[in-house]
Amino acid sequence: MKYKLTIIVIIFVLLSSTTFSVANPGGNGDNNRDFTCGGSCHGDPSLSADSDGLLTIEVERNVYASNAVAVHVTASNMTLSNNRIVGIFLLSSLNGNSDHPSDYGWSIIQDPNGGINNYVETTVSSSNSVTLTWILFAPDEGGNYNLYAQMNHGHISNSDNLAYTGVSDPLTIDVQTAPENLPGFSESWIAPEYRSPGDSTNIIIMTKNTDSIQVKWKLEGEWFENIANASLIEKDTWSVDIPPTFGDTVIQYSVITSNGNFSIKQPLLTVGTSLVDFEGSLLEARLQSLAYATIIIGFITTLQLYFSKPNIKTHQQKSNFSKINDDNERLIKHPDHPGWLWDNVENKWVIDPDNPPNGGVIDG
Amino acid sequence: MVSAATFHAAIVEITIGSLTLAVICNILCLQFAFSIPYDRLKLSENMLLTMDRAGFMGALLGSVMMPLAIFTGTLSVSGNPAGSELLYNKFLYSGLAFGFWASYLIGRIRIGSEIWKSKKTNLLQVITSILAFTMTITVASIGGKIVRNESILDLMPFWLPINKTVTLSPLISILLLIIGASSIFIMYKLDYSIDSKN
Repeated sequence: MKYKLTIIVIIFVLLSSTTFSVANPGGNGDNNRDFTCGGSCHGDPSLSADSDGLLTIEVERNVYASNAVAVHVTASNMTLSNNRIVGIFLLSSLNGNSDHPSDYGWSIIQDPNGGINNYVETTVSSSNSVTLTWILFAPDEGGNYNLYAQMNHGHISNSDNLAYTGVSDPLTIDVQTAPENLPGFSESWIAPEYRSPGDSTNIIIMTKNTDSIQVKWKLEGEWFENIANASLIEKDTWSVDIPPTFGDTVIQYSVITSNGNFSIKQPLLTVGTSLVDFEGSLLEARLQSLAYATIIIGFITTLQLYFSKPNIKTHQQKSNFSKINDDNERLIKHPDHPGWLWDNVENKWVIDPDNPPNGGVIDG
Repeated sequence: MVSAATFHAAIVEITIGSLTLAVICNILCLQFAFSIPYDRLKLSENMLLTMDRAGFMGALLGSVMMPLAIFTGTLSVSGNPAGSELLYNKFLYSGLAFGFWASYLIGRIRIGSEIWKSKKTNLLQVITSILAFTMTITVASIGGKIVRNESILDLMPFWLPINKTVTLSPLISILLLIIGASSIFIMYKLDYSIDSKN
């Protein structure tokens, strides 16, 4: 009875422990999303709770229409789940639909992870603060525009499985009409997100109203900047020589676009190194899987045979031994007749092959 | 209309449940050949025979359901091993799991419950089923990684590698396949010839 009770208690504890791991802690990946993912767990009042973190949003300087601008979002002091993932949005409204900055005339040149999404996920370090930077093209028309930041995350003590969320105050940006002939990035240019490992091909940068560019690059986390060679391919299209990278190296580069009237330092951009492409195919996977299965079956069934028939070898040895023994019992030496053996079966004397009479010399 | 994913979930539960039962029963079958120091944990001969049969039936059911689980899994998850080491590994570990379970079943069917009486075959059978179960839950763990980006094996300090894989050329795989098939064929011929002599 005592043991049954122990087993029941163990099963109960194991089943109870499953609730500790019920969550959606892995995030949903970078994407283009509306406020609270348009009614997800983080937006549902019965499933969500307010984040205890602080969210700020800022821009570096004057913003000119149709020109690049860096928007920095800082999330800090939030209590996170064990995996310390936080998802951060850059939004233009909080309606739950059509909140993407592009719905208000902005376009994303590069998100903090190198892509072109308004929602990105990142892991927060132990300092409990993270700053993410979006590089945007300002709307074509001047005027006041709002930008918001929102964050979604889990919580370390989250027995109710609530989805935590926080929203920044709106940042009202006065987008000024750009001066005539202001040099900058072309609206049709898409910044490269990754390069293949060892890829030495040049990065192409497209500009407008630009006579010359200067590009400086550095490895992420370092301070020393290198000047990259930039050559004009055609009008407002530049080829920039940035060295190939390997592993998880990220290169940051800044571009100064100039013409006779202006020289504008554009926001810092990044280009990462993609993972090495995996080249396995479906056929290879199936063949290799089948090969492993047959090898395993062949090996183990042979071992089973070897272990289950241990008398094969001994039986054979025994058979040979008994034959010799039988021969020995059939032929008997006699001390009075050296060189001769008595055959018990034939009942006659035969010559001992090991010790023939008279040294093997037969008398004529 | 019930989706393939729902079928997959149900079939995987049957497969893993049956194989879990099988491996537990097989471990208890060690008592056929090895004595244990704790009298309270000793099982009677009848109970051991029941364990042998339960382990056998569990492994049989699990092995029959395994191809169905693989099939419904393929239908329910859009994915191709081309470009994903995780999916590629799912194929490889499925092959290994199937190989170990098939070996266990072949041994049990060929030799019968007598397989537990010898220490060597008993130990081989238990190790085979433990390895088979390890491969099976690794396959299941890869499924969890693909769908939820986490698995219960994340709690383990170490486990078999699932994010990195080794790819073999199809020619080498075919060669291994021939070697494996030949060894199975030779083993059966040898077994037959020994039985004929006896």
